[in-house]
Amino acid sequence: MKRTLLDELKGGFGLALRRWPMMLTLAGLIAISTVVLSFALVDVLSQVAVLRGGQQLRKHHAVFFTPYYPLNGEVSQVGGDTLHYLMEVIDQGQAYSAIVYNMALDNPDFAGGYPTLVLFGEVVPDLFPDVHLCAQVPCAERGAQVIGEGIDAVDIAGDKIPVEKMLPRGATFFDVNVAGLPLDHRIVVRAPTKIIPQLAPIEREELLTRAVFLNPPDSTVYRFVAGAAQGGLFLVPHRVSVEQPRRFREIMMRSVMYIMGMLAFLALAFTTFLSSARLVMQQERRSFKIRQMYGATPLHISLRIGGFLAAVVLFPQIVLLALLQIFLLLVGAPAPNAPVWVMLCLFIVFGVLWSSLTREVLAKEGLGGW
Amino acid sequence: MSNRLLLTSFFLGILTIFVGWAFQWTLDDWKEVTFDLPGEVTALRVIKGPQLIPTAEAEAAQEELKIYFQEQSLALVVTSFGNGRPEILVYDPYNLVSWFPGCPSDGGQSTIVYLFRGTYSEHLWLASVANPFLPPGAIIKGVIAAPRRAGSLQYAGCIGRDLLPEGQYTFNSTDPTQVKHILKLLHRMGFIAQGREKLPFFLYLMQTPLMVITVFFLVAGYGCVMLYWLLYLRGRATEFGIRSRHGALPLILTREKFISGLPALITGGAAGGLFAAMLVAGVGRVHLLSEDVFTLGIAVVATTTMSALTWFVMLFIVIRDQYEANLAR
Repeated sequence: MKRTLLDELKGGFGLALRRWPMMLTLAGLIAISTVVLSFALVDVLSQVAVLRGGQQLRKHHAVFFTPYYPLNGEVSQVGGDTLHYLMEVIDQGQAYSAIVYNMALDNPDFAGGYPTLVLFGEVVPDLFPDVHLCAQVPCAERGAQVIGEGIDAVDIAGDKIPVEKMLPRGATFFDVNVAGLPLDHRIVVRAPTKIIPQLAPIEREELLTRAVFLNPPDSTVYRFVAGAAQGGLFLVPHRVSVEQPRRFREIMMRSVMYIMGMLAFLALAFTTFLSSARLVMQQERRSFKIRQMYGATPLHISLRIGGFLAAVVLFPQIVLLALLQIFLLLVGAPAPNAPVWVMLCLFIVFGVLWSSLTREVLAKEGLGGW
Repeated sequence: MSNRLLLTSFFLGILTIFVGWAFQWTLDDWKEVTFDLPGEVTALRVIKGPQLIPTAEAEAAQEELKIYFQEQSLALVVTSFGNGRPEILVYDPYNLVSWFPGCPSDGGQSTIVYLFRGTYSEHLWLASVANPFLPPGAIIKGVIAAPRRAGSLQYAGCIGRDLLPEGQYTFNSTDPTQVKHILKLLHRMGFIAQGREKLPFFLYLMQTPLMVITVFFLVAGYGCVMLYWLLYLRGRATEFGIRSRHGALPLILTREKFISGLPALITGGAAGGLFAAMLVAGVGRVHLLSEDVFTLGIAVVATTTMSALTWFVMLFIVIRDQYEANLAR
């Protein structure tokens, strides 16, 4: 019995091999799609994070700023009162800010030499729950790819902030000006606002430019903008829910194009395969009938169909994706598990195709049900 | 109407409009921002140079620059590229800049400004609140529409006696002699122009990820569709065989099937393009501009033409290929 079932599977493979030019093309097409999808999955996921982040900011009627820095490369000298005002608004949960690029520029050993993302504001974890930030300020987390020594704690303005846990692989922070900021190679620090006055001028400047106010009254925005302008830093405010600057708008539109393009392409690829599989089944209907007359049960026929499908839509792709997975692990790529997710999707698609095709064939040919 | 054709051209419509927009945006990024200056335009990124120039000498050079622009009937637009005030400064003695109302001719007019419509500055002006972006003593003359791609710049002002800041210097000439003379004067004002090597458009296009990805999806999508239609039509071999045996010639059969498939192809392509356009515009919260609608129109026409052509070729190949075999049956 076991052998017969195995023979049916082999027969299914043979079915595909007999039509090798067409099936090879289709298998190749699907294999290329899955490999491209594996590579693009990380990007697509980060684009999803961008869209969700943008959506969150819209929901909270956020205001953010386009900075115009002082002339001749000088650092702005924004007064302490504006800085304290920002700290106050952040502490009230009505704003947050970040330092992405300029933290400890003069100290190459800062955070073990890894790039950092320093976040200020209690509201950040609620705004971006997908990032899984640590809850208790001060705290720090390392990106999934940050390994090595010197990163047990981060020293900011005399405060030693322990690096507690690891962020999930592929975590992405949404910044209105940077769009999706991958965190796999960064150390994320949630710092208390009390350290802001002790930051270096260039760090303070970046903090001011990256401030995001949540549903602020006009007076709050004006006070902040006017204070910064007095220090030579011109911050043009934008209300996300009303008007969006070109850059932000393009980030959102590009993300949609990326995701929709991928989905449209995959829909076409699988439609093609389904059509091809149906045609093959149609061509094989006589053979199925004859097999049934010689004692084949619905299980035998379904295994034959499964073997055929596996030969084209599953087996070559799984081998290829497994090799890709090993390669990504060996080179330490940012998201080596992407092929596994694609494999999982393939298994699901395979399952759906198998069950629908089997049911279709059995019903059409009057071969009985399960 | 064939649902298969409708569905496939719907997806092709989506992919084509994405390529169209990616191309349009890439072209926009590649082109210099000309601030609607007429004719051929030179844009220089000007920064402070290492030369130490006394203020009086820089002022004298600036006056010479203005005189030169006047003599040569040129207009100058100086814009911030992220430093200084969020402003556009204009010197336009012959009213060549269509969006700028002009400046009084009394010389000391550096503090006259026109706010751009829809900006935060206009919002402050309407609320009668002091504008922190304006230079001290600036007089607001009114509100004007901003030139295209002005971004978050807030207002336009007249170039007067105050020394010009570093920024992007745009003027309506590409004459090497004029450009050289202007560069010499800028040097005397304490500036240098940063060299920018402009990539050829094709290379720039090839290096733009969005363009590469959307084109890849479209090409691969067409590959899938060709295969899909080929299989679908081969599945209809019996039908074609019966028609052939009753006297239908390959070309007539192809034409008949082609025409019957056209409504689905056109509807699908248009629906796909429209769906993608509405989705992207909805997410970006933008109204589609005339140029976007133009791109959409082009994409729909391109989808319909390309898919119709592919459909015709596939029909002809399958019908012609099996014609003799069908007759012999």
